[in-house]
Amino acid sequence: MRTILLATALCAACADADERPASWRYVHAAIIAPACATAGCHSTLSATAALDLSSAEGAYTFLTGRICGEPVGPGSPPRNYVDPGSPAYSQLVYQLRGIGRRRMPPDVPLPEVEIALIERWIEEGASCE
Amino acid sequence: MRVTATAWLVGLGVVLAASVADAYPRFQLSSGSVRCQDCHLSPAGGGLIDDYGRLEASDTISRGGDGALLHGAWEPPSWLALGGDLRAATGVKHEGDERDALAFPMQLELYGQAGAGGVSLYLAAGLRGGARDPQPPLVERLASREHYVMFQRDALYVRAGRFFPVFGLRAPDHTAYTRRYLGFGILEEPYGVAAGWAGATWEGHLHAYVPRPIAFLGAGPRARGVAASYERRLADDRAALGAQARWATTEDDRVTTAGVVGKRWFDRAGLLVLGEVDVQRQDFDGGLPGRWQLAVQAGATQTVTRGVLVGVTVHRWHPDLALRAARDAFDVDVQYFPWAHVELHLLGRVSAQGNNYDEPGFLGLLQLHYYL
Repeated sequence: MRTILLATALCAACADADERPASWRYVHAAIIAPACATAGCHSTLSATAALDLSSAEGAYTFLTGRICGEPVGPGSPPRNYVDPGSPAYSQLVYQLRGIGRRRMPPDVPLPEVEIALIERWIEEGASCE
Repeated sequence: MRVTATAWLVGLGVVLAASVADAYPRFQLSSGSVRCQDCHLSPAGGGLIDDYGRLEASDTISRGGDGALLHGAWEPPSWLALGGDLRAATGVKHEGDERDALAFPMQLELYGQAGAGGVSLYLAAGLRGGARDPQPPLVERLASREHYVMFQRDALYVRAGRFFPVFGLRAPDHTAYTRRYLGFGILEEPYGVAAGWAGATWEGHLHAYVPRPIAFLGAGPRARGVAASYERRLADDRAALGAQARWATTEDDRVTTAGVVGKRWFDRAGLLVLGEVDVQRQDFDGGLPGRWQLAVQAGATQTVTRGVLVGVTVHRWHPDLALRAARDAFDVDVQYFPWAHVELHLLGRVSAQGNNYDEPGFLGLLQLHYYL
């Protein structure tokens, strides 16, 4: 009970402002991996829609079409999942919000604050750092 | 004829392990059993049930029938125990503007334990899968969540292999937030060594584990760590209090979890109240900021009459206590056990994300469960 009260007190101080880093390492470890790389979805095991998002490096390449540390080549990312610098042109954002296509994750949608951080990462260039 | 047979095989094959069969914690204290291993062969519960569990399934929990393997048609030799679980579900899901009708296989899993002289080998194997198409080829769906060697003498056990630590409520619902978000999802079982001791009114478990050797064997973070749990029964076995802790590390983070579990059985009212609260600290590598997380599950189950249970459960998952990102769910469920081996489970769940309760999601699911 004390833990619940403590948590409630902590939540009372919850901030709308998100000071978390919009870096891929954080976005992947804190949002993408736990929400998307589950057994029946985008894990190495299932790789639904040919997407394995379980490792940071692999997920980055799948979503952006780039290889971390390699020069950026010509062309668009596969299926336009992430268009660096342009959340408005990134399919990933539309999927997370369920706009015009199936919402992802389909069972438990991400809270707005998580989607906003992913948008910020894309807007800032979608680097792999 | 060949087409029909193939269709049956394929139909059987798509009954996949999207769910797992853990113990039903709501039967502890309420049915006369006081710990998981009263009815299950595994110290953590789930999977194979023993002779006492099969008797309970027919005499206490369901409305009748023969709870023995194959309804008593064949009795395996004493050194061998066999069983299995088969689940399928249908339902509806509303989330925002999306309306989905669901009908999907959940689980087809067989269990076997062979042993003598206190040493046994346990294997749970089946077909994994999910609620969404396209499904992978049948041969790629074969999976074994649990396989281990166990030594047992009196109240002591030691086991080595693949299995989850004894931790928290261990509810059968793998979407319960205390399971899904704390690393106890489908096929997240690690490999490790565990030992435990059951006293007259208490039990304790210790587990050290390493990542599965091949990524293809499962999902979730490939963590190494240790977990410990302790539970003491009180009030003449009408209540139990427990505590659990875990420390784990992966290539990306370090996670420390601590939690408590409580259960209280009200005999006269036929009511079991149970709950779990876990607080978790996650620290990321590379100088990234860490976060505090919270997982809560609390509920009550009323035994309306023999074979019929009605329950309510609330879930809360807070991925970061510094943000407005909580995920809440409220469940109402009815379990009906018309005969031994058969369960009908109706679940209604309302959920909300990020403290936004204006447009809650809804899930209605009817599950048919048969165990061998």
